[in-house]
Parts: sequence; C-alpha cells; structure tokens
Amino acid sequence: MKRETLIETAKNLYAYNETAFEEYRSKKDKMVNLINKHFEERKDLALLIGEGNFDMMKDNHANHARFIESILKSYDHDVLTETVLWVFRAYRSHGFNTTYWAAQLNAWINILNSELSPESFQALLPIYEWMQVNIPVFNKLSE
Amino acid sequence: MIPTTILSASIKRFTSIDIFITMWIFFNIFKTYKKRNLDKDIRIFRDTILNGDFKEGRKYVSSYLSQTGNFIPLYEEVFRSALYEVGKLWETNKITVADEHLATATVEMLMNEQFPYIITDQQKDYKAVVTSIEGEQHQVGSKMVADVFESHGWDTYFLGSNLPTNELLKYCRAKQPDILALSVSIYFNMAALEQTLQVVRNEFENLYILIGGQAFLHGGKTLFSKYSNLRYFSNLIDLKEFIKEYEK
Repeated sequence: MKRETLIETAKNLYAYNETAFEEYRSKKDKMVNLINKHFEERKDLALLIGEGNFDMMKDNHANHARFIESILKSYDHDVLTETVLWVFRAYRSHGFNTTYWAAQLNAWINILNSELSPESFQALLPIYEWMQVNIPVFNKLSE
Repeated sequence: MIPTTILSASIKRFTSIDIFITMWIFFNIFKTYKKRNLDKDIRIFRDTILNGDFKEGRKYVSSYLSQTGNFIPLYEEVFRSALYEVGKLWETNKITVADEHLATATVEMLMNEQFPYIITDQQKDYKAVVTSIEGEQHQVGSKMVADVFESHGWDTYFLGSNLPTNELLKYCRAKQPDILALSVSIYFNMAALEQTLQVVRNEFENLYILIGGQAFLHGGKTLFSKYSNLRYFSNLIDLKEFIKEYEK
C-alpha cells in the first residue's frame, strides 16, 4: 500500500466528540500508569522492546497518550498517519521489535475499554483498530 | 577567422528569450552551488556541536557573522538546520539522547554569545513574555524568538521550557506584557497548547499571542484560528516583520 493510500484510509476514523475527549484527557495519566504496569509484568518484555529500552518505552506510552489527546481534540488524518510512521521508524531504529506494536495496541484497547464509558470507547476504537490492522503497512512504509 | 558577417548573424540569432534562459540556468547553477555549500557547512557545524566543540563552533559563527552581520540568518539557516539534522540522527539511532543534549547545549552557549548583535541601546516601551509551554522540554526555538524581541529593544522575559501554566498566568499578571509568545516543539503537545491558550485567553482577553515551533511542521496551523489576537509564525524573519508592523 502506498503512503497516500494509507493516509486516505485514515480519513473518517473519528469526528470530534467532546465527551470522549474530556474523558480521555481526565484519565490519560492513569491509563499511562496502567499500560506501563502491564508491560513491566510481561516476562517477554526484552523480546518486545530490546534490552535497556524500558524508559524509552515509558516515554512512548506517555507520548502516545498526549498525541491521542491532541488528535481527539482536533482530528487530522494526515498528522495521525505521518506521526505513526515516524514513531515506527524512530522506535524500530532504537531496537523495538515489530511485535511490540501489536502488544501495545492490544493493551491500550483493553485499558480504554475498562477505563472509558462505552460511548467514549466506541468513539475512539476505530482509530486503534486502524492502527492495529495497518501494522504491516507501517512497518513496510517506515523502512 | 570567422567572417564578421557570419559572427554578427550568429549573435543576432540570440533572442531575449535565449538570454533569459541562459541567465536562469546560471542563476540556478549558482543557487545549487550556494545550497550545496550551505548544506556542507551545516553538516560540518552539526558535527561540531555533536562533539560539543564550543571553540570550533565559535570560529564558525564568527566567520558567518563577519559576512552577514545579522544573527537571524545564523539562527535560521545554521542553528535551526543543524539541530534539525541532529534530531534526524537521533531518530535513526545514530546518536544518543546525551549526544543530542550536548549538541543543543552547545548551540545555546553559542546563542548566548550573540548578545552584541542582539542588545540594542534603543529601548522601546513594549514587553514580551516568551516561553515553551508546560510539558514542552525544548527551549532553543523560544530562546531564538526572545532574542528577536530583545533586538527590537523590547523588555523581553524569556521563561525557558516546561513552564507550568499557573506560573505563566501569575507572571503575566505581574508583567502585563503586550505580547505572549508560546512555543511547541513536538506535536504531542498540541492539546496542551490548546489548554494553555484557553486558560490564558479566559484571563487575558486582549493579550496578543504568538505561537510557533517545530510541532507545526506536522500540522495544526489552522487549529487555533478561532482565537482572536493570535498569530502563528514559522520563522524569525516573518516575526521580525510582524514586530516592525506592531510598533507602528
């Protein structure tokens, strides 16, 4: 898939939803702690993120939450796609395995489902599903 | 020897379009040559700051300023471009975070030496508060903005990076600036910028706010169009022109 096509597929994933945005914003820090704890407890962590990358992983989770907050406030499918591609490129070059992305997105979806109201979760879910489905494409395009 | 009739006939065949095309070609060759030299210079400077070689960096800056006499192109063409290159090296894991910090710190030290080009005897009755927003760790860009205001004789209060929003409000209450300039370097902080703007606008309805920073390269320029008395700037040259207009 070409980059332009990928960007197109992100066009209508989300429309501004004030409740979802406010809920996400208010629970963002708690959710970052939850995902960090989740990964801390994984025995295969080194296989996912490489050796010595724990702090970088925590930075990624904090940045992810801040980025999604920005996107939920003002959705821009171009920015979403380009940022995800940048993240894949930067973190892979620092030793993160491609399997980390699937594990991370699964964990985020579970946490969002447990922390947000059903309506807010449903509003955000298409963004996360789009990221999950396109992991192979992100890998390819960010090489 | 070429007969003059043939020679003059050949010359006459060159129309004004031929001359224009020739000049355009030479101009672009010159531009490419100048850009290649600048790119090469920026790479040399980039390596200098990555080595933390302040002495060498100083020599480079001195040579550059002896030709231009103006710190703004130095900031835009050299410092900004070199730091952008440093960022790309980190992205591709060619340097560490520590290397990046050293490069940034070296540039900041070199910026601090530019005061003779910045400080002016002409003091104007305007105040600017310049800062990177809460959560934003980068400050070189906002420091550059502060230097531009300073060079116009404004009372400029540069508050560094990651300034808590409530502290920013307290400071603005105390100083009553004419302009507040906010910088965001990474796109992740756009939502934080929005929150900062809401809070500032609630209290300071008419305060002129400038926004900018590397984050806007990825988007967001139209995000804040709903705010009155707010402008986005992508470079220091446009900022300088804005300040001149504002002072009129």
